[in-house]
Amino acid sequence: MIWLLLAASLVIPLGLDLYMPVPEENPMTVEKIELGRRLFSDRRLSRDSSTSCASCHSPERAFSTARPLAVGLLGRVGRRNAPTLINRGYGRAFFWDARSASLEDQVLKPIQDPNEMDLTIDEASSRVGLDATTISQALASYVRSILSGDAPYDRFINGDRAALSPEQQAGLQIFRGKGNCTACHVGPTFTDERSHNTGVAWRDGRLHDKGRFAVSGRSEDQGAFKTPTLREVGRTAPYMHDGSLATLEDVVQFYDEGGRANPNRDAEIRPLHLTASEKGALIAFLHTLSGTVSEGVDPRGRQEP
Amino acid sequence: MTSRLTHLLLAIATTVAVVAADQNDTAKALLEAARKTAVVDGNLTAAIRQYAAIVETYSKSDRATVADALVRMAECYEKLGDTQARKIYERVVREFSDQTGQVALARVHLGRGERSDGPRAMALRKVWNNETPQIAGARGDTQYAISADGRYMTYVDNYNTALVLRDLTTGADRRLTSGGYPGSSPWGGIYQSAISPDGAQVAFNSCTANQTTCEIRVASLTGTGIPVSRRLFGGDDVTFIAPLDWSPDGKWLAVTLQRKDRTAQVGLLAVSDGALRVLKSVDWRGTTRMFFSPDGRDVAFDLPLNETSIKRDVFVLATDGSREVAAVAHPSNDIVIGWTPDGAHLLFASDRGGAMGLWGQGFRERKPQGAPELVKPDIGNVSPLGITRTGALYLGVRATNQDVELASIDLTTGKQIAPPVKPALRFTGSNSQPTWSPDGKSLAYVSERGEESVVVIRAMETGDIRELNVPPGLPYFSGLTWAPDGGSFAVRGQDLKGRVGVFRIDARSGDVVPIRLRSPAEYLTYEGFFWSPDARRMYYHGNLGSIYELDLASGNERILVSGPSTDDGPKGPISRMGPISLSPDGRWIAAYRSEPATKSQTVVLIPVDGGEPQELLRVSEPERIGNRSMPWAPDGHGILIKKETSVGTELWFVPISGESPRKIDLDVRSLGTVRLHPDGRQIAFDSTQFSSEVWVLENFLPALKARR
Repeated sequence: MIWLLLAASLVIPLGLDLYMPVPEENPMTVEKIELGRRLFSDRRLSRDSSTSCASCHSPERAFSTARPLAVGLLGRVGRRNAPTLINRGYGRAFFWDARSASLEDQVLKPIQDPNEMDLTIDEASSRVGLDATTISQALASYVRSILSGDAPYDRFINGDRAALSPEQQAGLQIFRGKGNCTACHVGPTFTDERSHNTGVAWRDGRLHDKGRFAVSGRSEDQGAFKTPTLREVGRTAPYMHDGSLATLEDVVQFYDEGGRANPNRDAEIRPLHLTASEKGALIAFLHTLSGTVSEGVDPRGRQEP
Repeated sequence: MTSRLTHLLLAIATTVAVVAADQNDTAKALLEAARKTAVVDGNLTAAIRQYAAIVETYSKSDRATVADALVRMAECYEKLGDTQARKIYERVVREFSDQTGQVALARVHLGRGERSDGPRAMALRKVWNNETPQIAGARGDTQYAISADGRYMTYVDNYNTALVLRDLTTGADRRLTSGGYPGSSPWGGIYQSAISPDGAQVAFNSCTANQTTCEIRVASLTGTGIPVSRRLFGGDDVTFIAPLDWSPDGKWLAVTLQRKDRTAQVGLLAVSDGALRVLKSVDWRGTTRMFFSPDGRDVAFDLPLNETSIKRDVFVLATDGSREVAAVAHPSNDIVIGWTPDGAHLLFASDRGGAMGLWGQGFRERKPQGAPELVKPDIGNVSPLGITRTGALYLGVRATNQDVELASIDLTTGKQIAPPVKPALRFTGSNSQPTWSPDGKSLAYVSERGEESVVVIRAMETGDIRELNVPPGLPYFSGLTWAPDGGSFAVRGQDLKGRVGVFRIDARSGDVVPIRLRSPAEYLTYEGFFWSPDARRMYYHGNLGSIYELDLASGNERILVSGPSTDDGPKGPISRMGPISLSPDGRWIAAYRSEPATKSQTVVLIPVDGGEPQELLRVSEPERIGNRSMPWAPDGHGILIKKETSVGTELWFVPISGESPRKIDLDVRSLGTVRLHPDGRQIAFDSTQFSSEVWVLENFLPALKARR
């Protein structure tokens, strides 16, 4: 397998890997990224032409949505929150239950989902005059171009000691230490790309969403969901797979209590006993993960029509 | 008259000698100037002219300098790809047989030690046997590096503090850093080095004792003595970084690094200003080998196959991040070895043939071409130093011979009752970490079986053996310790998720569960852990000196002794505790304490229920306490310690009553873990012998080319 990246058309911001895996059969081109960019906002890809990808993945909110649960055409409410799409080019698993292994596969699913855009691929192809492969490859290429980096955190770990305030630096220590956040939120994208049961789906003595288990069938995946990125986390509320936590304060409180105890809770999730100031510092640090979000090709490489 | 003549002759002789000495000094100065032209300025043509002038001027008066100049001139020609190089090397061999060092070097360049007019066969020969005394417990002897001309290699001493440059033709060693005991050296630990393509510089890492911070330094190899090095890179966020190769143009270093969040990365470091370009974040285990392709456009490295395997595959990544190729993708274990000088093959070691062999994967237009070819079978467990310009592959070969031994001793008299015997009759040389069952009826130890570890449980009365396969999810562990209830073992280890901590291994099923995981920022390494007699609590310590008590039922942790937050204080390394040993009644913790300020080490007794530590024993340099296991006598009357003295390593029994320590009559030169039987008379220990060699494989390129 050979992975290619049209490096000239993308500017990789500070903090992200220079190498982004791109499948050999779908090399990045300026044309594909531009086409994907248009398709991303094309409402014709929904049955009633009311909804586009951007309806739930709003560029103004770091390609996420303010609604707890995704709302598709005709006001249909989905089961899960629409996650941010930033830095998904570096991902290895897609959707909250990690059921897609490639962006090319993932991008076609919401088009067909009855709760989202509810259109057959054949109909989508017919409407936009492109075959399914072209739609898939273009959308995947565009999603790969959505990048977030150059945050205060990135500048700090690259030597700019003034990039974080003392409180934010204290929050970083908690993030890596007492908070044990890096047990899952690791690397430049702040996700291990694995699924974990934190107990979010466990309420009233039962799982309300089986999560990864529904895909893998493995008992250890009961109630497990893929670790989301924390890049731009200050702009992507509400949180968790079901959008059930409205603020970062709620999230920190949830983990401070050790998530929600259930038979399959991840061993890394345990009560943290954070003080109020430690919680404040941790939240202050999380806001330093918001940087510059870019999408599409670098203007220097973009071909104007 | 006779006296005046004598004086006159003496004066003439002295004058001639002074003139000759001046001439020699001048010749050496000219030689050094030419070398600088070649190495520092990179002007090979001008250097050739300078060397030629030296040869012309001193051909009849200074054969040593002339031979040296000829070899260096030939090296310049070789770098320019000029066939004149070979003729000059042959001239040195032919005309300067009295200059053995230069002749040997010329022969190296000519491809092998002996001349041969016929086609040369592939040859594997040993070029160096590391006879530096190996000290159990010291980490030394990590990685070697070779210069592009095959003349020099770098290695690290036993304590990983002194980087040494060795001239393989003369056998001369030159220290590049000052070295010393860990904690007393300004360099911290040195684990990896790389020599620049022109042989003029060396890059090396220097890490704090606990690898909480790590930096890369670069030093010039010109001149003599310990060179001044410059700090090229260091960052608070980087816990480990190592230079693995120089780019062909000498402008970049290929580096592997580890972040504080446990992320491993491969990257490039600009030699000019230390700017880091992270190419790729990878599995936490990262890579330990990277090689630039000869055109400098790609780097090759190996990574674990996946998150559940310890086997590796080889990848080739563009240095501009634009593409990656899975160069060797196979279920076997594949380790990158390096590129052939023409870039047509990527060499790797693989066990796909049953044993580790050397393989070559053809490359064309930066892509794998065709099936891999076996170059040489059975090369063993090697680490690559690099491939020289002439295509000689240098390999480091290390072997560890570890075995469990049993002896009987009398702690009261210090006398040996029965000499050591080795209970393990199978897989000898790969057994370690002995531990007695609480009832003393069984001895367990770890037996390494290639990439797998097996816990062997031996019934002492019958000699019956039961083997417990440890799941592959815990590939790295040590410190096997039997639980008081006899139903499980505790080990310190790291699982495939990269989590470090104390794990419980079920003595029946082999199932593994974590007891206490460290958080990534704790920087703890568990060098010892102990159950309370009632098995309800566990005690362990961190590498910065904190000592903890863990309530196993509640998971609550109590800090008994707080260690310093850093390795160093304002006046240098600071005192810290560890490792520890819990008394049989659970009331005392014996702890080793280093005291750099007084250059001494002590053993202190810490009351578990609170109170001031009491000093039990103090030794001062050059004597040291071997800081590994310190088992208590079953009756709690004292502890066993290992002491390193100027004459060797000794085992001592230290009574806690204040009586004088007693030397135990037992040969413990390579002693590691020590465990006392509940009867207080039988002692189980593991002994370790290391060997380390450097080999060179020559003339393998023709075989690869012929197959192409």
